[in-house]
Amino acid sequence: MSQIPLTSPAHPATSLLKNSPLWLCILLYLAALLLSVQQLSQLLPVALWSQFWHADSLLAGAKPIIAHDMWLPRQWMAILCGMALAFTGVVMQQALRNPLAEPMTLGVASGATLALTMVSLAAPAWLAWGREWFAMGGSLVAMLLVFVLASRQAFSPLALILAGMLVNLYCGSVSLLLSIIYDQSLAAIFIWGGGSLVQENSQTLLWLLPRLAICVVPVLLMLRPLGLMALNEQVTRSLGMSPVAVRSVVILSALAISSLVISAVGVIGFIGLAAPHLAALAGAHKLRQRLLWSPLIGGGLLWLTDQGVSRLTGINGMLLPTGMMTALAGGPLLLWYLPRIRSISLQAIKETVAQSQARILKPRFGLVLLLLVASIVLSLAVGRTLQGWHWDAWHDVLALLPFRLPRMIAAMSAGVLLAAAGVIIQRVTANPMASPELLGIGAGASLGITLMLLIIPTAGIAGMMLSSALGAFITLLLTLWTARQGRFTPQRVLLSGLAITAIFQSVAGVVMTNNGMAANMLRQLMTGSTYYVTTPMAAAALALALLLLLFTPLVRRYLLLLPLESVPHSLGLRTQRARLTVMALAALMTGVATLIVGPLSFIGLLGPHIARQLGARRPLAQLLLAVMIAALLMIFADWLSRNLLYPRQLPAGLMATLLGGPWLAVLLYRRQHVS
Amino acid sequence: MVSMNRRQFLQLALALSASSGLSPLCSLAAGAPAPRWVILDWGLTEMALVLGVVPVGVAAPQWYRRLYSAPALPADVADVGLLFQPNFETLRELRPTLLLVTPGHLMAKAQLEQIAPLLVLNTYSSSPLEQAQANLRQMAGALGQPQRAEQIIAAVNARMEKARLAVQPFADTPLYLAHPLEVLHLYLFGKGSLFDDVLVCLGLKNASQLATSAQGLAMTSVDQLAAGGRGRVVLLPSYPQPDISDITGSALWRSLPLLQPENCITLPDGLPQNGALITAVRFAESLAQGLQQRGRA
Repeated sequence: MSQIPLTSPAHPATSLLKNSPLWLCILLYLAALLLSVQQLSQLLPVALWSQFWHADSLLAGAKPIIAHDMWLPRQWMAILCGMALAFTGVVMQQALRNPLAEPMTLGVASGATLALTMVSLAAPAWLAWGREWFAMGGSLVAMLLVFVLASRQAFSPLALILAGMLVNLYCGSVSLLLSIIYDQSLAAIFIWGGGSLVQENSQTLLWLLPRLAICVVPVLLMLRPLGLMALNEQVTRSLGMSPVAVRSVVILSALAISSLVISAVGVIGFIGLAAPHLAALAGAHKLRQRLLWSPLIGGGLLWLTDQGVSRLTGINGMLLPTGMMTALAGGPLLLWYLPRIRSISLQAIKETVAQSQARILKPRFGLVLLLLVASIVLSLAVGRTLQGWHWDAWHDVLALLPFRLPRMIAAMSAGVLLAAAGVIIQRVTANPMASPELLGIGAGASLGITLMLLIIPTAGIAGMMLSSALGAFITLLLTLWTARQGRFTPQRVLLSGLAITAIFQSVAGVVMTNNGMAANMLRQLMTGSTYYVTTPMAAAALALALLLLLFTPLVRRYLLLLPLESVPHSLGLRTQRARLTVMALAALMTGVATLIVGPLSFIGLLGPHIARQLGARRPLAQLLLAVMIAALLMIFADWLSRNLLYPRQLPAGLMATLLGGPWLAVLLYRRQHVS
Repeated sequence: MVSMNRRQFLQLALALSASSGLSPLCSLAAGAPAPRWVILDWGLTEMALVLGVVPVGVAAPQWYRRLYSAPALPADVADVGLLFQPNFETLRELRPTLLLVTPGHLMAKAQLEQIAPLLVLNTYSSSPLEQAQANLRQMAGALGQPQRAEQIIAAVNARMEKARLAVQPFADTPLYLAHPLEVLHLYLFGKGSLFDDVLVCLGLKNASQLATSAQGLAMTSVDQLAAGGRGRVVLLPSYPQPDISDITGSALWRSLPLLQPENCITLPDGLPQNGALITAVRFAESLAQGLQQRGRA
């Protein structure tokens, strides 16, 4: 359901006065208007305002031209894009019956951005055909991918959001890889990707306006069936409309609108999420009301934000694109909103007994062990040199060991920790899509490192370790705090993790845009580089991995019982405390691993999954097998990252993400057909 | 990519040095084995080449060749990987006698020290020009030929002085130094950048008052620049867009008084913002030439 029953519907008469979103609108627009009047008065003396529309008479100076050609279109553009994005938000939320759907959370925006980035790198001439078509293509692919990933769980809100998150993470990783390869030549693309509302003249505005108007028409024609969609599929069908057809048409329209906005001004996140919820909070409950008020609120919201951002520009020589700032504000908004969701159907996705007993395989420990040994040999003995590929003899290996062994051990330890955390989280939440990456602990740790590097660039390894651990810990506290109202319902924990990841991604984006020395180092750290690992660090990582792993058998009982909702109480298990213990252990593991491989790897998701596929069902068996598989994968990813684009040293965590992403998609797709 | 063998490079370098009054290839200590330097910074690479040392390896040399038009880097210099994350195994394979690194590389100090002795040279400083001179002296010292640095610095100073005399009539014209990224966004060079130091050296005024990053750069949108007062705009194009005529020719730029073609001076590309001494003096000379061609504001 997309309707959020915050209050019972008030009487029509009072609702017009009391609960009307009109007041919110007036407030937003008044504030934005005051700010822009102040801004305009700096550009143009008030006495000249009457001549504003006579452009010719203003051609005298720079400021009047800026006011007329750049400033004014920017204000209109902010309002228009805010309206368009809020409109897509309402439409998607209604059509998908999902209160968290919008172009950003569904991965649509990052798909469009990636498509445009790749085209402008590979074949910039193609962009002359119209960027909107490439943006549209990218967003369609992303959306289809999200649907395929979520189809197994009947497009439940949570499944869609998680799938969107996966697509976001993956597109983000590919962008990072491109930024490592193309380095400084991407500055202009990053500015655009960050969502900048600065306008050259009114051409873009006039280009966008009619196209948006056309795309809105199909939605308005389908208003009635769309309104009924919130009720029940059968009702809609009985009215002679195929719900699938209605859904496809309105979603395609929404995709077209967001693609147009993205190709005009770049990605502006979370307006599509915030505006409809603000409208609902202010009292717009019916679809028609929301379709009217949300865009109005969205326009005001973006206008106000842009007014604020345009004043911030210039701190430390940094450029802060508006889109990144809205995304930055959107994360906390999600966090704030989560405890208030009541009608989200957060049904846990459990494997049926029949499925789990369908194929009782003996866990294939032998096979995995063999591959593990092979990967260790590969990692230590084979590598590229200036003369090409080289299989090193024993004495060569000994000489290269100081460079290869610490990296391999660190990669392995990180894999072990992430997989263990993954098994724990998946067991406890009874959700096969859960992973430490999605818990947000990794993102929190990286946020800590990022801030440390920005504030004290010369902090060194010790400072980074401290800031990473601190970041992980604060994230954990925050996650638990936001989830307390849900009594640690696993899904709520995951969703707040998602919000934290969103915050991290926008901070990372700001750093990337302002490509300096910090960005260069950050890029490696964020994507998980084993590059800086020294022998003592590797030893410490291994020791920590083993230590934390030894703790896991102690919580075995929790892992078995927690997923069974009603049973634990009757067995005298204190559910809350048990969950807290287990989650803290998982967070600790993720925090340590993030230092080594960054926040974005899919290893914590992949390891446990493959372990299941290979027949490990019971908690400890799955844990052991998952840990071995993750170690194997990380060793391979690290080896590949050293040799793929030789002599460039890519981050191992990034390589793991790039390898693991498609694999995961295939895995999920196949599972869906098996069950 | 520029393909050039060692002989062609030597000829070119000799020609360059003859024309510029420097002699970068004056014989190194006869009989001593040639130094095998690996350099992990492009500004330091520039100065090593002027000192007459062709490094055996440079981090991301293709970027040096794209961004620096002089001195040229021979094609047979090995690529050791990314700027801040060079490939340890490649470094080791090159058997360097000295690794020239910056403080940004010290996170990998433990590994780098195992390969060769390190010479840590600070490339980011609040006065990059002085820093570059200090770095050159240290590098010449590492070669055992400190007098080479003094010769080069004296030659650079002489060229700088010549440029200063040439731009004296423009001492009252404030200059904006900008690297345009696209029509709407650009970097402005301010206090703490190499080019700002050169302006001070030449007795010219930087018009930009914006706060800058640690490297002396401010990324900003074009209205922030154009709304400012009078002055000339000096444009420094660079890879990947050496030709900025579609930016300067855009309707917006043509309409803004400050950015009128006759008020802009477009310098040749290949003057990188992270360059060192030679970039500085080449910038000074290009600027002097550009200002003289434009005439008084």
